Amino acid sequence: MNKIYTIADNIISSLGFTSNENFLALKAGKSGISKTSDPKLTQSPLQVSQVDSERLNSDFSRLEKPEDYTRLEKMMILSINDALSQTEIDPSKEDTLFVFSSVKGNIDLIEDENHPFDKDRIHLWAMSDSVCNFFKSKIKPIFISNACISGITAINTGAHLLKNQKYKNVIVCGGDVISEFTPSGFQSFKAVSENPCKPFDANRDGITLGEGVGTIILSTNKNLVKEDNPVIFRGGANTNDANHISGPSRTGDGLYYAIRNTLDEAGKSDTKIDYISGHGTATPYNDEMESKAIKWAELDHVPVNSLKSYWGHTLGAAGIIECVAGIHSIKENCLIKTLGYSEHGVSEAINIIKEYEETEVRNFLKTASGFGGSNAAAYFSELNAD
Amino acid sequence: MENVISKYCIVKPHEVIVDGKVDFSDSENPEYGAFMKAIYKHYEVKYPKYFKMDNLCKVAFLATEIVLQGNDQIKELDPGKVGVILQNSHSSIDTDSKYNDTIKDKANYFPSPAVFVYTLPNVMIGEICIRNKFQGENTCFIAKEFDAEFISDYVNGLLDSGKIDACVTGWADYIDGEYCAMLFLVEKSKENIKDNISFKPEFINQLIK
Amino acid sequence: MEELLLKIKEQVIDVLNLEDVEPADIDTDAPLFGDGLGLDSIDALELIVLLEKQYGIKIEDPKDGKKIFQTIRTIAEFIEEKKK
Repeated sequence: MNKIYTIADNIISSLGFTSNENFLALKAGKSGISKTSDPKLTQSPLQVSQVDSERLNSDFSRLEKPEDYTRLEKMMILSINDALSQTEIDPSKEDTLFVFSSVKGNIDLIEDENHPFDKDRIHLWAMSDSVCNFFKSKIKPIFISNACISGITAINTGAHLLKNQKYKNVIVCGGDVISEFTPSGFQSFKAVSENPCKPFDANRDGITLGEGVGTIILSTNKNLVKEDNPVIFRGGANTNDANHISGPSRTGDGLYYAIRNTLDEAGKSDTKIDYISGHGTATPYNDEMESKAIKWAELDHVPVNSLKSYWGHTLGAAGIIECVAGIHSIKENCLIKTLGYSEHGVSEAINIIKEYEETEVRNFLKTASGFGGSNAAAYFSELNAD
Repeated sequence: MENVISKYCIVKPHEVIVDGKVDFSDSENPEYGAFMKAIYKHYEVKYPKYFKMDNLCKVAFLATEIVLQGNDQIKELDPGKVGVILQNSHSSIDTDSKYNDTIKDKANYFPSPAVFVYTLPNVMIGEICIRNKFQGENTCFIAKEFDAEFISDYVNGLLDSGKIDACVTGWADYIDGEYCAMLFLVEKSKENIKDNISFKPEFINQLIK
Repeated sequence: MEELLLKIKEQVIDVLNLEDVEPADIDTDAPLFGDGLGLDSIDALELIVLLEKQYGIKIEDPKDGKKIFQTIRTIAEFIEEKKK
């Protein structure tokens, strides 16, 4: 079986427009969450993590006219463009496939009846067509909308499609933007915290939302790999807990099965995992469920963090940008602390990372769970590790 | 070993087609909600949660009910080995607009949680999994039109890798009163069943013509 | 009170999409959640919206809903109490 190499990546978020800018902020323990009362976004004060619009438009104007693309398309094009600049891949060639993930796509258009775009632009496939046209890709892209696990499902799907050798490279790109739609909905669920979210903490009381885009380029072409010891995608799985459309299973069974299937696919039979990048939305139920699944998988000794307190919950981007952070944790041999966590607040004694630490990191497991009962996991490790 | 379609169902205006034959039709109820309710009654589906679902979930759910009706074998499979892989064009845009109506007038601003929860296309997969206790691979793909080549490639890949043993898969779409569901139950071929159709794009496209 | 009870029943049937249920089918003192009408957590959130929209009563903590939404009568009593 050909190896699936991670060869390039990018993050666009409140913390910067490149993976390096973002990872530097994470290492420094700097959060991108701040309070807004912008009436276009919220009817009551809201903690949120937003991308700098001025920089978005000025960076984008170097590539194309900003007014021809929606906010999310601009973020995606910039993100993919930056990732591609790290490789020799020609995205217009037939050996390269685009896989997108987004929960709500161009949802900001639904709220603005006077938007200048074609009425079809609200559809997810129209958004991905717009991005693919920019890169002159002639291959029909794949689009995934799997609620909060979308990003990991996109990575898993991209890898799955590389295995049957139809394509050599897959550009996985996912993201979502903040408009009034999503915050108001989560507020109606009484699921939004009034403070920056506190994953796994005893005083956690809900999520913080964010916007952003992440890109990971996967390839089976060894010649494109620049490092001696690159990070490899080893396995991934998506499951359903079949419990409730808006509440996770209390036992953690769905997430446990996703972890088990992922490690099975990776051929990983021991529990020597250096790091788990958790979902950690900071709702009472999600974090509790996650602790049970991690314990069930006998991974309660493994250092775990949630990065939601840096970026907020970025929906379709979350799984991707958190995997990018995991890849950089391996490359820089460090573990990022869970900002906002001070008092253990889940029933299982899982090992939440409290302080930034420099230590050998050779592999990591990424997990996520979402509405519709969905759960997903993915496992990455260095070429010379298992 | 190849993977085969053990049963399929198409729900479109006025008609329910099962394994190529019109199984139920009702021209007296041209409107979507009434037709769905007629299907619900005709197939004796007893599931009160159905009435809470949005329009997209209703058509996906009913087509799945029909495909699985009378199938006791599927209940004997490991729930973790049954997948639900669907594709759709208009995501949850129809319900997104309904939800947006609850927030757009600031003088009458009451965001509805019961509507918001259906503003995700993969919730239709969640509803099917909850009803049948399926816990395997589940993904909602979005494409302008049903892509039999991609869906068969993807689902056959999952079956061949051993990740799943059976899959409810196909297409379900709803927008503005226009709808269509085409759902297939795909399983690994069993020796004792001879006349099943292989889950390949050329056959799928013939069935849905 | 009787008038309010009937009104609440009608509103509950409407916002929760209770199919084939008439106001007369709902026992004023029967539990709404669990066995009763089989309501779930999303219904509880929707009842919070109902109280705010129709009666101008805000409930910030969904946990408070548990007590208020026990039965149709407890909802009516809560509304009467708030009116005072």
